[in-house]
Amino acid sequence: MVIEIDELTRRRTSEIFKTLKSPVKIYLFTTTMHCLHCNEVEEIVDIISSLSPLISVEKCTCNADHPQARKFRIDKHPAIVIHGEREFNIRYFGLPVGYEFGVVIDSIVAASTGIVKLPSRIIDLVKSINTPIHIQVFVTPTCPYCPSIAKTAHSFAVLNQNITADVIEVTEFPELSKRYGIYAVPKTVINDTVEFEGAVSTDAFLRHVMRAIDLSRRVG
Amino acid sequence: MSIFLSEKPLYDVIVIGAGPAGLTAGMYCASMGFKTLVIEGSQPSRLQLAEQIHNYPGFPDGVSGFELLNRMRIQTLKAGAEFRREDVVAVDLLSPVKTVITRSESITAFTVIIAIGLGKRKLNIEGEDRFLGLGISYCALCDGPLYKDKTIALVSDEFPGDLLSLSRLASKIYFIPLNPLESISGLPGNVEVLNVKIKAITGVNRVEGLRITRNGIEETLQVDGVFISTRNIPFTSIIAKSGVEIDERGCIKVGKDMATNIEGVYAAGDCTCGGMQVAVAVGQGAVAAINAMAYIHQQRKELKSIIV
Repeated sequence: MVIEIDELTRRRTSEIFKTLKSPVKIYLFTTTMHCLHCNEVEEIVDIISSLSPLISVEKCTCNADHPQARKFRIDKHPAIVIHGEREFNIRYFGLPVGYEFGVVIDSIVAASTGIVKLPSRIIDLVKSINTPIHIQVFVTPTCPYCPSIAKTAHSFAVLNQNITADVIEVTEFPELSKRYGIYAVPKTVINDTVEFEGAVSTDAFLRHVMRAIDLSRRVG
Repeated sequence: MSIFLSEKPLYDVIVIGAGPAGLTAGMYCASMGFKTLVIEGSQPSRLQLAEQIHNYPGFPDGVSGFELLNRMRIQTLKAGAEFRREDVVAVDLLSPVKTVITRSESITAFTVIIAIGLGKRKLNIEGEDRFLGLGISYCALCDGPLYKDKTIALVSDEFPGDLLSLSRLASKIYFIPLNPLESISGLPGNVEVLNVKIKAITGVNRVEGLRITRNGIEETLQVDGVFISTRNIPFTSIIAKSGVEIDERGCIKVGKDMATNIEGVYAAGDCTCGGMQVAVAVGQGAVAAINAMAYIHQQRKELKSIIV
């Protein structure tokens, strides 16, 4: 597969990137073993970084036991992690094409500006979370309902470094699809204890996060 | 009417819905200087799902629904409309100042333009609710890729565009038309058309089969998933409670001026069952906006005369 980005998308992305404030670093993790779309993700990341001088890329062709992969807790490939001035846990696994391309672009902007498009009361509540939260949003590139939930998860990770937000293109990871029983997208799993389907409102999303915190406290 | 008007509303116009009708209405009102809010719900417009539109004027080579909608959105933003991304949970339309309630706040306006589009109809068969997200899907585009090389059933009340996209993914498709079709030619080899009655969707923890009756004999088809693609019905349950007249199909009743039975409330686009075409939705959005603006003008005059 050859990655092509049409001129209009390229131009629009460049326009959007004019709003970037501080530098963004994309960490790209690929592997030479059993990786469906590693080459294509590398092409996409290269294209994205060529569209703004504020975006740099650090590549690691390495397996999960490599020190860099361990540091970033990368257990599957391809993976990208987006850092702004702070080391956010904004991660994307798989090929970000179709509706998902916009998710990565928006997350780069959020990481660079620190600005998220959420109501202020939600922002305050997300910032106040002080326990580790792992959000996994499972998506497909053809799903128009998926970006809203994926962007919200990444926004949460921008607001609070206790939150790791993974967006996962599920068709590339059949073992996860099986493990979490994914028969419809978007599906979101929080801390492996709470799960929900569909593009819910931000309030409902936050309620699920709070429930996961509550459950972890009870178990803890 | 305006004697009940106790305070100035926040907006001149609230448009509920951000499909082609809502965006056009919002664009018209905002560009004429009216304070306009467009509320975008979590369900994307049907237009966003359309792969290619070939009958919308100005695009001789066709345009993707996503692209067209995005262009309309940018135009409406440029015209000065505000956007809010929230679902509307209730509306109070009977007073001169209309209130639209979302999950987080109440917003008021002189007029409301309803452009909420269509929702999907359920089949109402056994197992449909229980297996939602466990092998039942209403979005072939979203969930199709999860059924690569699997056996699925597609239940539909018309010949669906979904059939061809699914046939490229699944290894076998049972296509079950709800209204029996005479004959269809040129179907891909992995599609089998079944003119049968569906009794139930079966399984233990997820969809495993479809119980049907064929020629009076009951049998179970082994399937990994069931895709339901039914003709859309309007999304009008919240609106119906507000006093807006809805016909027996669930469509909002409007006149030629796109006015509903309630003064200051207009409707446009698919929720009026006006033809399900983008060009029609755009035209209706414009008509609704023009009449809504005339109404606001009148309201302002009355308000002024009362204050004086």
